[in-house]
Amino acid sequence: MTQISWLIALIPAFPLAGFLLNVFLVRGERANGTVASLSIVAAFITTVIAVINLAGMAEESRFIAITLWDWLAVGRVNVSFGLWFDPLTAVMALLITGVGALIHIYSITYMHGDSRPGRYFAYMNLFVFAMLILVMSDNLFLLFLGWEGVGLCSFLLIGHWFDRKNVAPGIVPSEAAAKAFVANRVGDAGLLLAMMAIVSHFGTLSFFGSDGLSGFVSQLTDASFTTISLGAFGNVGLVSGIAFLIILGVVGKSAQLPLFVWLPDAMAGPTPVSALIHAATMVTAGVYLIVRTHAVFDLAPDAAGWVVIIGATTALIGATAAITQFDIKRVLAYSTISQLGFMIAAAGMGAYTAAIFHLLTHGLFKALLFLGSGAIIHGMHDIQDMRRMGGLRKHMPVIFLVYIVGALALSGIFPLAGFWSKDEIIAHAWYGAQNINVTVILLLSSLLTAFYMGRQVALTFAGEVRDKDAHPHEDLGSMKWPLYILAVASVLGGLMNLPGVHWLSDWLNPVLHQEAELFTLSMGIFAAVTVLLATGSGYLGYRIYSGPIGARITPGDEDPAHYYLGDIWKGFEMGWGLDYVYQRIFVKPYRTLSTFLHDVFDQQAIDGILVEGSAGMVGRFSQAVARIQNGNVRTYALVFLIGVVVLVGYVVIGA
Amino acid sequence: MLPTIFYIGLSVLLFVIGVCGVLLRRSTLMVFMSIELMLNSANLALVTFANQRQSIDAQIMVFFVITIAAAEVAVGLALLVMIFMRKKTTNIDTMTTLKG
Amino acid sequence: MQRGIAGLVSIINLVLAVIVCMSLAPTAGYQMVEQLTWLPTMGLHYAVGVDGISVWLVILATLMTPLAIFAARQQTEGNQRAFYALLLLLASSLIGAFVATDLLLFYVFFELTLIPTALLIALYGVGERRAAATKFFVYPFVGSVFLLVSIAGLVYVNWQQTGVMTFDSVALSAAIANGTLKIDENLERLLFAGFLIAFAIKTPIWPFHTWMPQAQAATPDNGSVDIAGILVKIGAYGFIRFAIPFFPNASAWAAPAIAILAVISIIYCGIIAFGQRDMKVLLSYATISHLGFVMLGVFSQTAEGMSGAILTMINSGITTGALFLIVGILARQPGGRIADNFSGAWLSAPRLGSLALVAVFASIGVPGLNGFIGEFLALQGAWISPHIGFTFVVFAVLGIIVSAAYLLRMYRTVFMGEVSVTSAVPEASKSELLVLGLLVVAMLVIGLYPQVILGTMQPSIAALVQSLTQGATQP
Repeated sequence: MTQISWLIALIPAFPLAGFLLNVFLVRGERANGTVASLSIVAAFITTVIAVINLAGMAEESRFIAITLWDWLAVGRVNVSFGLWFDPLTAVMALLITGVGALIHIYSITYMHGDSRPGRYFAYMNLFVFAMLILVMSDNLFLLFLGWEGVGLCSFLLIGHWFDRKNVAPGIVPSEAAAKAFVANRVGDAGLLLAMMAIVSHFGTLSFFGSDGLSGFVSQLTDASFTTISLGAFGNVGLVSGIAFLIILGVVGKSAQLPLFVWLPDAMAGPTPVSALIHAATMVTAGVYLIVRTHAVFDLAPDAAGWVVIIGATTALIGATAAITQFDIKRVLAYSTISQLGFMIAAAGMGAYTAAIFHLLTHGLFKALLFLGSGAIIHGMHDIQDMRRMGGLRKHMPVIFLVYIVGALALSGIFPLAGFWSKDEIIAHAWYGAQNINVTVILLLSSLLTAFYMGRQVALTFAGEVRDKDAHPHEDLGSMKWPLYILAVASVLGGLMNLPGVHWLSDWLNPVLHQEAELFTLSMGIFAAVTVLLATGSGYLGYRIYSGPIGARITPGDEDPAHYYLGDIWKGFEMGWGLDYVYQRIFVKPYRTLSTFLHDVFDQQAIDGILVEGSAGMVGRFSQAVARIQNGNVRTYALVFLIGVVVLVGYVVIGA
Repeated sequence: MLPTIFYIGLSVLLFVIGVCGVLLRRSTLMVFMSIELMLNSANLALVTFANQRQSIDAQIMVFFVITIAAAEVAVGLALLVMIFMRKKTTNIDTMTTLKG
Repeated sequence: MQRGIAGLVSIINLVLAVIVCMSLAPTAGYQMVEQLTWLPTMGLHYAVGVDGISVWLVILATLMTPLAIFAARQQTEGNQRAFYALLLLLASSLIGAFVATDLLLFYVFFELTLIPTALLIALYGVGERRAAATKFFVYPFVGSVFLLVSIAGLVYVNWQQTGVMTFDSVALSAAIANGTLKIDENLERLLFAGFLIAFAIKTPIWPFHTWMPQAQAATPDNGSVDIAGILVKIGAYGFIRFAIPFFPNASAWAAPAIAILAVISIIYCGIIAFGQRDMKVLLSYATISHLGFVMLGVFSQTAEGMSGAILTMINSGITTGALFLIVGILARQPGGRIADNFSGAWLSAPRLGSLALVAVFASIGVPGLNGFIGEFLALQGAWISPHIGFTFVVFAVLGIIVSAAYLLRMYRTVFMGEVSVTSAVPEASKSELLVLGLLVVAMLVIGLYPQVILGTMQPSIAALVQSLTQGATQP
């Protein structure tokens, strides 16, 4: 065990220390924010040092492992509390601590005057800790600790304003928090089953083992022909089964179809929370999990196919829903769902590097957009409805500038970060996977992305302020620097994996074993076409909503497009009505079922008929018998006599 | 000496009278006397058999029975008096407090 | 005064139990055995001992007793003396049941737990306490009659075959494991059924569970008698300790059926808990739901499952105990035990709210806290068990979703939301927070280092599983 091993143990230790300090010792808003931010900055610095050390190691054994203690050793379940740091973990940890530190610093100003700053910063620290555990664990069991831990923090932070009846746009924070947790739980159940299946068949939950070879990942190939009988449902390959269960977990955590409904409501939390948890890091855990266990998906093409379908469909649904939203954060929430769909689809197609690339760039520019929207909301005094905005360009020039950068990056405009990563995914769909349907869907989603960002920029910044009562102002304070840094990163993020340079591909190669794809001229033309289309689409969105239609938008009214598209628009707005359907199919009947089972089945059938019924029968029988006991001495004597006669008669005759 | 069967016959007769008395009479006092009658019929049978077998054992038994009957009469009559004082009647059908 | 004495006694008891636990050697089999002759002609002994499995249940029982006495601070009605006497009697009988190695002695303690609890409910309870106490007493009592018959039958069969009249559970299970005692297949199933009925009612497992919510609803509001929560663990303990080692073939034969009942328990009671407004009733349905996991683990008859089952029993005692205490604290408010009468308690009572949050998430089974480890192991055991298999686990895992739904609903209703003047809950007292804090620490410790408990019980469980496979292979 070298010093390096302890170094990686320090990375999650800093946020944990920050959490504990904020919970037990530190009081006062200023101190809370400082402690929390410092702990994340310290974690970031430690990560950087660890990454530098990692880069100096031989490529074939480029990992740092440390076992802190043996967690469980019962029968076949042997799990250690072990951390693992390899190139994939490294980029994730850099994103988490880097963006996390920026968002913490941003929060100091943003959360100024909040009633519970201590809790806020404690939860944020706890979140970073859990997320680091998630990406740094060397086994699925510990990953699950982080996995559920981030869900718990998400619950806490969505419910940060738990005492408010509702926050814009009409979400009850406590309800949204519970909804997020339960929806995540559905997915977690799948992951839990996957873990059990892995233990049952491989006897270990470790990905690679302490030597990098003895984990379940390296045993997968031997099990590729093992099948499990599902009785009447036929057989399923073991690896496919595990893959499908992992997908269930991914779908819950990464807000994919059909479980994405919690993410839009998660915007009830403070905006920095949305930036960190519900855009940059936590929701990408699903992508990370697929890439981490990519060996499973390599061996289960049927499951990988479903991953692509889920990802592509979600990308489209998210994009169409984002077009129609008026809440500035909800647009970004649906956009996040859509972009996660891109990553998931990429991972499903086997383009793991592209998925991670997009994850990283998306983490940068989506954090920028959320923080920018937070600054707008801050400057508009808690107005989130874009119909009441407009013309903010004059009032908030700095925010306008960085927001434009973020929007262009998200839209995939050359040469910003989003262009490189998104183009790599679409190009892979076309050239690598050669799947025309997916290509078309992703391209369409990409165009819609540009369109809704154009729309959002137009509604927010163009023209004049529509709500005459609003007093927009720009007062950034310490929020300024995170925005600048993220804006620069959003511009330069593409450098990570430029075609022909592909640093990220080379860096991840020891983990993913994927050589960078060769860059060809046709790819360049393809990219040029997509970027032209995206630019056109984005301009269209901007033009329409800053021009004729924008003029017709008034606070509180429907989008004018609703007039032309009618119910289709409405359906988009409701996220394709999935929430409504769940409400009708699951939530309400569940309540009814609960009442029915208790009042009717439990109380009347089981307790009433079976339990009280059998007790009642005993009671009635005893009542019947009791009637003989009439208290009349002469009757007793008669019975006695009869008894004597019978007994004596029996003895006499029988003898 | 009459044959044993006559004594036994008398004993049975007395016993049956006693049983009928217990079962049919309403007055507690009469029921009580009927019980005494049954006891004495048993005594008669015992003495008869003792005589027949020329054995003293059964006669000793008779003394026991007579003694116990005397004790029982003492207790029983005391109870009867108490019941009469409380209920102002000796009708046995009114005493049904042991009803289930 | 009475409370002081009772508290002192119970704390001494706890200290003794901890000493016993620490001085336990890491081997299988009973240790610190104490054997006094009771009825030599019948082979009856007053025989007690602990092993790695029972010692933790003893600790649990001794831990919950001071808590119950502590929670009884608000007990103002009724006879104080009798109240504490009954609580301590309950503690004795619980500990007795966990340490008895003689079958009939176990039966005596098993029955004895009913009397003080029923009296506590009847004398100090609320609502329909008489009816609840009656049902609480009669229902498990009827079940245990079958247990007595089966015990007699087992001892008789053993006497017939080996000529030795003994109630010693160690000797009996050893005889079965090494094949000196062979029970006819049908007779074995019949005898097993007797154990099953008694323990299934006591556990309780669906559909024998209806006495429990009613009893819980009638226990005193201050949560003091929720020690009764531990007494249901005797049921599951009885399965592990007696029913399964005595009848390995029959329990393997019945495992799928019981697994079905366990899965129904998990889901059915979880769904019902969602709709409950009375928090105590909600928690008692939650307990039944958790006991479904215990049953799955127990009947998996694997080391993983049984360890998980025992850990879940302990967890359920700690976590649900904490939640019951919290409900007891809340019940002092005019809102009583009805969740809907509260709102935003986290704001007015931040420390209580935060501790309740941890307890709720421990009960939901978030990893890092105690609940998850037990449930995972129990389900894992069921998955690899030759008797149960993964099909059951797929359904049982729904339990972790429904548990999140009902517990978060309760937490959200009570602790979140707008705080109003009428519903403001004052912060709990320092000593209450201290007790809850200790329980929360226990949850964290078990969640992050469960080996502290699991390690102690491994030798005993390994020996048990070993004897089961032996016993089951005997023709």
